[in-house]
Amino acid sequence: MDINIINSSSYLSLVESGARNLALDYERINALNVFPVPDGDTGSNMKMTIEGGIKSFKDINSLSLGEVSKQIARSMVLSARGNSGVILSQFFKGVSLGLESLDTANVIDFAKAMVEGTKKAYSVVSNPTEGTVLTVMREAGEKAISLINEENTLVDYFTYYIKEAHESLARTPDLLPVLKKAGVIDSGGAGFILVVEGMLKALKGITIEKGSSSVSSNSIDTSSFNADSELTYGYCTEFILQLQNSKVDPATFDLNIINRFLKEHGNSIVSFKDEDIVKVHVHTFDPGLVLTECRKYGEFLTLKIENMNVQHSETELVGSEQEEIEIEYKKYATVVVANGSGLVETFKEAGVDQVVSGGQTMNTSTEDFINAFEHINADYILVYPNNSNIKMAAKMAADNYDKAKVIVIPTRTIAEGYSCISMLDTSCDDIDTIVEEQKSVLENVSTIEVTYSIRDCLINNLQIEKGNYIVLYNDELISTNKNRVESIKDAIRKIEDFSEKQVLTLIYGKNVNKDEIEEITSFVQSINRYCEVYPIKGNQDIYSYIIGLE
Amino acid sequence: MKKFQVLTDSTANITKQYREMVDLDYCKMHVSVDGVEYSADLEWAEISPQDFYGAMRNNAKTATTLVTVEEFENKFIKYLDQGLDVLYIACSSKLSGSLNNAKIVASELQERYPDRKIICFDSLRSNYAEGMIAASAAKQANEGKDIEDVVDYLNENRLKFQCHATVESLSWLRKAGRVKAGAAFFGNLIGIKPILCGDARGNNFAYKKVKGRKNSLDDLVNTTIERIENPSEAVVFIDHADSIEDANYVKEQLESKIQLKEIYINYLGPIIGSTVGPGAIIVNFFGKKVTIMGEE
Repeated sequence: MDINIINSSSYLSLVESGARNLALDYERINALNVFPVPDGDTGSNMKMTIEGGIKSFKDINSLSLGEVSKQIARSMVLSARGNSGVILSQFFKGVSLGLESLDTANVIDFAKAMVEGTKKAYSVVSNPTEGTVLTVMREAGEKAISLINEENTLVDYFTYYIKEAHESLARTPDLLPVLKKAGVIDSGGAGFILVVEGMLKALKGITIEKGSSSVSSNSIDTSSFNADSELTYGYCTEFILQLQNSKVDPATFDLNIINRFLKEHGNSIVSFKDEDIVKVHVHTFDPGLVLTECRKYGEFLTLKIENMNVQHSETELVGSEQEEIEIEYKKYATVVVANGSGLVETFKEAGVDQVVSGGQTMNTSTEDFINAFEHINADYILVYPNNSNIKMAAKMAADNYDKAKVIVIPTRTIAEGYSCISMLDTSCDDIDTIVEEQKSVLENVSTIEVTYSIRDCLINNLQIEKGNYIVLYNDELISTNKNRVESIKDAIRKIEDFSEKQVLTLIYGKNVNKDEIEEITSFVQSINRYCEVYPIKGNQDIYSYIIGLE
Repeated sequence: MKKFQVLTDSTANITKQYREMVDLDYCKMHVSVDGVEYSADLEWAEISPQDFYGAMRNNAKTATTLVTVEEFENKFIKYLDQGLDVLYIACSSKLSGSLNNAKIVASELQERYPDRKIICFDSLRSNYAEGMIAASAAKQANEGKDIEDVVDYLNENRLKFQCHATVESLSWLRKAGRVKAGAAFFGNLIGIKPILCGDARGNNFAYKKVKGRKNSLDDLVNTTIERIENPSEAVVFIDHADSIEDANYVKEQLESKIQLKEIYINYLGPIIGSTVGPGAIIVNFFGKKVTIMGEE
């Protein structure tokens, strides 16, 4: 039988069904990318966002619809990734505001709540663009509410809603030239429709099987680490060491011997010595070294090593409280988003306080940012999202954090972030001046990105063949070639003010060899003597080069 | 009648022609390149600037030594025996221990020459800025002024003699460790050209970050224009560490933007050269009092 009154538990199953329906087809949404670049992530972002909202409630039936929808929205907001994810989570937050005082909702209540959802989603986008998911949800919501009265069922409402949503989606290329040029429809809008269709299925009593790739509620989600993953966080390593008389004098053993070693090879160190037992907690990239060292002094009573790139629901055993005490205060701190061991290291060497994993294909969630903030003890935190699709999650995190003033420097690329960080100078000790200077650095950076095409297409009068290299300059596709170096040379020749550039930061990815870098360097210097080339091993996927030009 | 002789040292970087014109002598420091020692002669008598900076570019290890006690004794006695008092204008005590050595020598000689004045003055400067202070003192000595009056003048004005610099690569600064900078400054250095100056405490202090070589040269030009006084009467000295093209660029830019009495280009001596490295460009001039101040 169709559901016609929504209560707390049916609301949860609606959202759950929406999430499952999206999970079935999110890869198709990923492929709806404006550029033929293999980094589409809208589907993944929306999927992870909505799945973050699904939680188990103890005795859900004793809670009001308002309460449950609010909690779901809250979790979703924290898990929000990417702009589409942020918009989706804000939509559900708006819906929950519409349901706030209600124990149950009828069709009219729900239709009004859906309109609230649209309003909330619009409100968080600083410059709402038509032809996106916002348009789809607005037009569908307005049309569907105008067609129903109290006689109608929720199934009627959702049917109208979805019909209009599809029509609206089909119109998005007319509203947004960039979509039309690429011959695609808006990916966020398409993902949103999948969610709403899933909700309709739940109303009709159709059960969607949980896709294999859905987030499992078990303690370890190993899907976050695969054959191509980079270990960016290292291993959380904890053990209790029984000091041995045969190796040391346990009574007088100086814990600093171990601590000094740990400091060289890791961080987040917590250690205690209690008579002849030492308890250690450390984050390290090479737990083997730590274990070998410590076995010089004793044998392990317990031992636990976890890959920190894999998400664990269990909290760490040894005190997170002690860790907090250890965080050193500084007035200004920085958080950047980067993926890949090379980039993480590069930013750390540059003095960045926290590197949050994320980037092209794995957008950072609001919660990831907040977690990073929690590891900082500062008055001001400057955040560099390094991706236009992560900016909103960063801003959301900034708004939801009150222990420091968080300022987002809206860097769109790793190259921009890197330039800003390299020029960061806090010695004037005035946050407004610092932010102003950083923004002027940002204005002066251009980015060249080199990757390969995932489809044949014609863009900017360039005939692009699948598999050939393509070069984006400040998000414009400006050159393509079978040969990678030629594609870059061609792009550089097309940059009008290249003769004025002085610094070229060459962040190179996997499978780039030294000869290629030398060829690019000598080419650059042959046409501009004053342009210095600085290669950095970024080791990133997908983009063989990310080049900052200043 | 001239009552005292002015001496300076190897970091003053002042040309022979100018020294002879104002009757200024100097005490030599030493520099070693991969273990071979050379005197830091201002005319590069023992090693050419091209060879010296070329060796640095090839990663030669350089080390500098301050003016020895012996050198000070010889020079001071030479003038004391001529019946002159001595005023030694020293490289900033924050950069060299020479001033300390000189003071030790001075107090010993004071016992042998009880009625004479031997004053060791901390210029808080190096490079041509130090040379300009010494030259100014020497000119005043030639006019017959009293040594105390000249020292008063120098105390009043030494922070107006200034040098601002940029370097080609930060690796020399790092190796030498003689430059002060805020903790956050050297965090990341890729593409960064710091602007340094002799600060109000006498340290070489990196006070500004600029990106790009040309931008850093332009910054030196702009700093000079902003800070110089009476430009039409003023002389600007450009020291370069084997980077004549860039020194000429700075000169041309200054000439096109401001009317100056004269601009001289000179090789940067090996003592400061070994701390800032090949490619460094330094502008020296008299202007607004330096108030920029890094850490102690």
